[in-house]
Amino acid sequence: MKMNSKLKKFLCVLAVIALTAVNLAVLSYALRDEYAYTKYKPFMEQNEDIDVVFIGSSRVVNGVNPMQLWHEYGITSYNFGNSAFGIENSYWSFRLSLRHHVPKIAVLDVFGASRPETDKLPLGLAHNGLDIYPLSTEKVRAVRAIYADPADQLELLFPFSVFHNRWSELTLASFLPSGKPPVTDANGFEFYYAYDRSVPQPVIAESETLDLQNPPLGLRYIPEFIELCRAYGITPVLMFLPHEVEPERQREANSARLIAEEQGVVYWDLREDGIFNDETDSADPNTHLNPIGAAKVTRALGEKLSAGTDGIQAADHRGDPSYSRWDSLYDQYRQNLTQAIQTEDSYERLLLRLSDETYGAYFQTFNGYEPGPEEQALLKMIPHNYGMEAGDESDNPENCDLRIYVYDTRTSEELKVFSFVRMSSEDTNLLLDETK
Amino acid sequence: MLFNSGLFLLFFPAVVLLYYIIPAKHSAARRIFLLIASYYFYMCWNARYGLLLLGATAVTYGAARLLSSAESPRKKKQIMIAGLCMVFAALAYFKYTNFLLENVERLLQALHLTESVPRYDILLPVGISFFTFQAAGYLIDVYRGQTAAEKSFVRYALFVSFFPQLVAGPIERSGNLLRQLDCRNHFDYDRFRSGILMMLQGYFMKIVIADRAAVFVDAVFNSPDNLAGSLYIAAVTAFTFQIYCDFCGYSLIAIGAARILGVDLMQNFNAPYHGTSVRDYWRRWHISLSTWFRDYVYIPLGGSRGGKVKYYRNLMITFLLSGLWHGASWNYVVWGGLNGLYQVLEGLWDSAFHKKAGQKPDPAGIGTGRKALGTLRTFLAIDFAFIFFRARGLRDALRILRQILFSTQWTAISAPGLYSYGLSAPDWTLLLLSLAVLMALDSLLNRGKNPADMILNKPLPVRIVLYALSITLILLFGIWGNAYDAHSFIYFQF
Repeated sequence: MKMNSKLKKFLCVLAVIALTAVNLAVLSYALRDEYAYTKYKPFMEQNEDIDVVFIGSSRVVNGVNPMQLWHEYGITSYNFGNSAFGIENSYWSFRLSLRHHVPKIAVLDVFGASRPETDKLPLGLAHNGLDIYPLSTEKVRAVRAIYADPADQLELLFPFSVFHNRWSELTLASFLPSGKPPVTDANGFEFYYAYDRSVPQPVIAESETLDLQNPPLGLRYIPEFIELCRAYGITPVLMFLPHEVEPERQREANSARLIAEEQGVVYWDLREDGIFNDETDSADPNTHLNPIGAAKVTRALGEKLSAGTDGIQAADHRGDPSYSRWDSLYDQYRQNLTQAIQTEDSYERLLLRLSDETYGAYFQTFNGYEPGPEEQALLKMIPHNYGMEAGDESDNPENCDLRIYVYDTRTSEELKVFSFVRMSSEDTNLLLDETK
Repeated sequence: MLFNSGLFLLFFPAVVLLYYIIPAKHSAARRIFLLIASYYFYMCWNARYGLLLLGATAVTYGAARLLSSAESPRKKKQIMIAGLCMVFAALAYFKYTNFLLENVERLLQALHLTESVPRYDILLPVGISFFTFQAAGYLIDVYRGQTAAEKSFVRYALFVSFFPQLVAGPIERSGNLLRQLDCRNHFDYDRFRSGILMMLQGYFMKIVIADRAAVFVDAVFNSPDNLAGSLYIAAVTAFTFQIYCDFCGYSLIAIGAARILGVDLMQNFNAPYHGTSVRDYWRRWHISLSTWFRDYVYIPLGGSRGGKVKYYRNLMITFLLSGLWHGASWNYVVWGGLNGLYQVLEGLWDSAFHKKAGQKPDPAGIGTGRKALGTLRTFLAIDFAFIFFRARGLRDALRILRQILFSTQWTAISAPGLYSYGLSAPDWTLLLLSLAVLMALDSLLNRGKNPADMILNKPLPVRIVLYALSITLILLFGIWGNAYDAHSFIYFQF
């Protein structure tokens, strides 16, 4: 009888703990950081059919488009880049992912290898690459390797400890799967719809490297990455995406080349392919690629992977019925792009969206409108798919300055007609005529 | 180690588990274990503080032992005074050196004798006022013959350093705590349950109410600008609840934690804002300190004996000292003085009123309306005095008062302007709802009912759901985690 009473009390305590755990699990789901979950959800859910992953910082996020790789080369891939991720962050995030999915080829962008050890990744961004993975001893190791402060470790291991402060944002939708909109454009890739020229940088000699005797943290993790890949039977590739980069970044590339030679792995410095044009491809000075640059880089990678350059070969799965879901993914991606174009309200962003060759545009100018110098520069980015002529003034009932007919180049279907007006006769900035 | 830190949530269950794993018959081992745990708890702030704690313990232990063997009253008195001087000297050094130098400097400047007096970089050890008073109280008790000098150094050291109440009280009496440190108790499920409930209420008060109110209070009081007076009124009212929830929350966690370990600490708060007079309020607020001052300062001064003037003098001295105990700054002295003055005025009012009415005051016979009026009047008086407590100094308090009197601007505390001081509309709603829950709990306590009984009397499944829900809601709505700096409990600084 006494034992029963003790057992009952023990079970009561267990019931309270279990019920509290369930409550917290539900709340953690409802309050979780959307980005991490929607970015990696397709990766976690997909079957073993992703051949290539691209790993790195936001340069990778904005630079390599898996849907383009599928559409043009039949390569199945995932963009594993994360904003501000150093190589150590990318390494641990990738390492955790291997419990769920092992690709055939892992391509690591070495940008950021020189970042000092003291320059830690902001916690808010660290959640993006870690929250998707369930609590495990491996995750504890990852967090401890990246952050020394126990409070930071606790936050990353139990994200509820920080996201509970979003309680006032909870709605019924927060608890439902449908309440989670996707945040990335396709398999982890995100377009960076911006345009800016770089600050010219001196080119340093290839022999100039980072301090290899006392390498910075990021550089130390490159051999770790190679070792990890080999342990899982993955082919590692190091790469450096093209841009007009500072000398310290050039040293990162030079150092990676040496490490690749030492370790016997392939290194692709895409700056050497001569594809980058700072006039058209740069989203911001000296770092990120815009959609035009991303398309070029993706194509260059597709060429290398499909041609088996340096022995790195990714298969073309187009037409294979077992990969038909990739066609569905691509169709969905196209639908999203089309919808985004149709709802675009910025002239500059619209031009950048039109850089995709599957969209075309026909421009009609009215009221003597002529593109200004900045607009000319933007139009240079889409020389392949637009035409421009002065419109018939009698065919301008809305009295706009510029009319753009956007169509699908594959079907010739008209997607949307945009009417833009100038803010003033002296101003060349165009505003969407919302009444049309 | 803060009660609201992740480390404590690992530390405390581990201590409880290990404590009860040690067989009850090995009580000495249990005491040593608790002593080590208590010193670890304290030294998490600064390992060197452990020496200070050990020093205060050794001095009072040795003095008490000497007292017990001394025969002449004169010698006993000398030993007690020497012991008290030594422990209070440490407190004075750490807490009042710079305050003293600051005032000496002002005096010398007024006399045009010097421009500045050097200060020392002295870090105030956490909880020094609490364990010093507890140790001093023990020494006085031994001197008075109210407590026998403890023979076991370990047991006495545990009495001074018992971690649940070490850094912010309740300031325990040797008569209550020492005898409970026998450590022969077995795990008691009912004590565990009620202890957990007390801790939950403490966490609710601390992290849901006090730390939320602190966001607004800090934003207003720390603003370098002269804000509208109405904002200061709102902030000091919020502070009145913040400090109550902060300190009472701490006390409840301490009492609950001690209860799980088999120790009953004294009650430290008893629905203070239901007090119908300032005198009544002080019988309910920080009871362990109030009774300490009563027993070791007020009564030795003569208490209420010797006529009204002496009574009022003793009252004022006690409360001015209480103010100084809270902080080495004149604004705390003014705060203490105001609380003393309120009681003097209440005494004068009562004397005048009862002379006319020809009857003695009988709180039980006061009607509901007069009680409510008394509660409101008391709250406003306490609220006003807290301006001096919360301000960054006397000059700052006077600046705030000037804003309240001459630049009230009531519109400043209306939405949406109010939301620009750290708390959003949902935060305000949550804060007010939480305060309503707290006032309901206090109301029960004021009527002599234990709010915990309301849960404990429910059927088991309901209790299980209520426990789990309480923990979940506290974690959901609490101000905790890496996004916030864990707010130290306000009374740690004293």
